Amino acid sequence: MLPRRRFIETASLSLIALLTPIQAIAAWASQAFKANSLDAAYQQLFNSTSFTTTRKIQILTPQTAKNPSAVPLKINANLPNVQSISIFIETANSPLVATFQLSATTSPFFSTHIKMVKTDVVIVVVKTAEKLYSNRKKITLINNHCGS
Amino acid sequence: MKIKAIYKEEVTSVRVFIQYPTDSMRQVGQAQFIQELSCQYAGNTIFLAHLGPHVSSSPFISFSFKGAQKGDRIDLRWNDNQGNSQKKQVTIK
Repeated sequence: MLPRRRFIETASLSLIALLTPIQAIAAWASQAFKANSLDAAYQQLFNSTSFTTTRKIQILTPQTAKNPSAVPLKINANLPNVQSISIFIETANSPLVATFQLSATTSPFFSTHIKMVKTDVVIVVVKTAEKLYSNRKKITLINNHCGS
Repeated sequence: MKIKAIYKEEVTSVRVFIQYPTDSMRQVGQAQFIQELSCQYAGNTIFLAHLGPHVSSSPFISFSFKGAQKGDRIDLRWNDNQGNSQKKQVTIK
């Protein structure tokens, strides 16, 4: 029989070994999400803060949003070899909203809903195999639900 | 998690709606949000979303990809910042 100390050691080691694959899958970009300025978030994600502005990234959203907890956002990146698409809110405390990684067969078009506390600028950065592109759009938030 | 995967003209569009947080998960005073949503097809991750707390709490996410056929299966999985996760397999219609 194993002494108690050895038993606990082996048991905890094997538990760690069991848990590791799950941890590895969930390699969430926590540093980039914690970044409290746009440039810091850019630096974490892309190692760069300069992007080529392009109209080929279409941000399809109503110009005015009524429900701040679910602002609809559709993004169409009409660029070749898109690797990832990231969404930022310009003046939020932690600007990074989400980052989407796409495979070669995935269309660079998707939709989601985001939360906004006030009228702000949404910035979309697209990483292609060659370059970084970005585009921005201002979304006006109507706070009273009577506004049309 | 509600998923619809529809095949049309070589493109499979996937719509995902995650009811989150469910009442059983809700904890008072803690920021809870989905961190990751991934979709796998034929062993490859075709879509991987890293989400932050600014994404709406019951996110509705849609995307599309090429290369699949009707009747093929895709696997979706999400996990949140509290260690909860869910997996689901759907057949492409």
